[in-house]
Amino acid sequence: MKTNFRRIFDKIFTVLTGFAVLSLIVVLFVILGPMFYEGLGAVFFEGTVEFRKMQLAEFGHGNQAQIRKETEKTKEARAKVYDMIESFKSGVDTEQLTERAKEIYRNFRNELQLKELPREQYTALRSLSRDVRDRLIEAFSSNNIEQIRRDVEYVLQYENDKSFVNTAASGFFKLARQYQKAATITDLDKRQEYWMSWKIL
Amino acid sequence: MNGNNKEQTLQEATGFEQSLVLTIGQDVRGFLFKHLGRLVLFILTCTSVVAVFLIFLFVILEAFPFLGKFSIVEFLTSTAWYPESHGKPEFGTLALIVGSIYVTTAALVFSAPIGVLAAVFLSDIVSFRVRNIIKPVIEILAAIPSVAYGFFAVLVLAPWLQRHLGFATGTNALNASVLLSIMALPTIISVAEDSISATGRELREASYGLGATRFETMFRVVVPAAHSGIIAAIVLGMMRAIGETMVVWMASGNASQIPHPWWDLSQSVRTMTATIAGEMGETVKDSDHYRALFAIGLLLLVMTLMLNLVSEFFLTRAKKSLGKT
Repeated sequence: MKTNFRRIFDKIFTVLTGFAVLSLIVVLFVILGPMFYEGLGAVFFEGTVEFRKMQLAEFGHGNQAQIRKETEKTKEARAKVYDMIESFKSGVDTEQLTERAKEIYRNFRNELQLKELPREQYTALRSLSRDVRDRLIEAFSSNNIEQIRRDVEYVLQYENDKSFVNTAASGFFKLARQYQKAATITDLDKRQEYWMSWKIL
Repeated sequence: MNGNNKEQTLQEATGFEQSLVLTIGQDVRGFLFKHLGRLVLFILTCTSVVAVFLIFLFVILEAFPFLGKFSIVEFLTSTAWYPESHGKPEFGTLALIVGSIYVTTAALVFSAPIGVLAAVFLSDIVSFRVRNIIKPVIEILAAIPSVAYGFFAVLVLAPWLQRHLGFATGTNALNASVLLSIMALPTIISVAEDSISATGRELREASYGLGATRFETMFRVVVPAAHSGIIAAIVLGMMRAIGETMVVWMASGNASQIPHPWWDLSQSVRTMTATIAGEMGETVKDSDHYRALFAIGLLLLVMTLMLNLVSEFFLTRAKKSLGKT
């Protein structure tokens, strides 16, 4: 029994000595980590056009024409990334898509009211646009890609309809195409998860 | 002909082309260079001693008018540090002395056990190859400038302490102590490890031979044998902590008070070094406040000198006892 205790003490002691050294190494990384992180951030920032823009704006240092050229080039490069983000967002942010669909419907309804159409035509167009809006909202809220495809195709069949061309309702079709594209590249089951992460960001 | 050849061969073999007998000029020059060299080395050695002596003298001379004008007892026992108070300034340093001792002691409570355990690990448990990797990594901790530790204390540790432990302020005695312990650890580990490594192999072998475990060998044989060196290591670590300025200035909160209750590390304290560093730039030269700061400096100097003597005593004892084993 006593031997067992001695062995246990021995093991505990060995572990504790190792832990002491390990904790020191961890402390070293904990102290140096934030310094390196912040320092590297500063080093990278110094290499960016944003830094040169700041230098020009704050202290008048740098070549204005060169910086403008660089800014344009950066904008072009960033535009692709922003488009990708927007495209991804349009497949994820269903609340915003629904709101946009509703807004398009309201705008189209207002347009119809101003056109002074015959009552039957007015009612038919309003009913059709409401139907298009609802199918689109259904597509936005669905996680089933087949369902989405059917709804979007239903909406897009009216794309060249004379009553909708060059009206506010054309926004429905733009929205439908955008969503169709986004839905094919997004894991629809994880949409809520993506949206939560997006909100945090 | 034969004799000439032999002489030539000897010269070639030894490389001596001149006679081994020195001329009077060479002899005098050699004598002068020898004594001149000794003199230069003696002066160089004395420079550091004289520098320390002059620093001491300077601090004493600057502090002396204060010690003559104000009560030393009040200076050492009062907690009221109001040097710029209109009417009756007060120069009580008790809270500052307690602050210095408080954070230093707390730092040692953290660093001494970890330092000794790490020293044992490096000297007796880990392989030589691993030791050669780990030791320089630990020594990096000593190479980090104290202002960098201060930044860490203020920007990382203080908000963390406030957020996770619910302290009223993150810059407090605990923050300063933790940082000081990290700063003292490389010194403690290095000196203690040297001391433990220097104890004889035969002591360990005898202990293992009698059936002792590693724990028993270490704590009943090796550590007692190296205790003087370990104590010296801890005292050196203490000196590192008590003399540190930047970290305590940035991390301790700088409140001139004695923590109440005494064990509450979450309260802010102020140390002697931080007071000197923080106030020296704002005092009028030759004013009472200016002299009082020099008096604190003198007190600090005496304290570190005493600690130095203690560590020297233990190091000498360690050397003697290790010489015997």
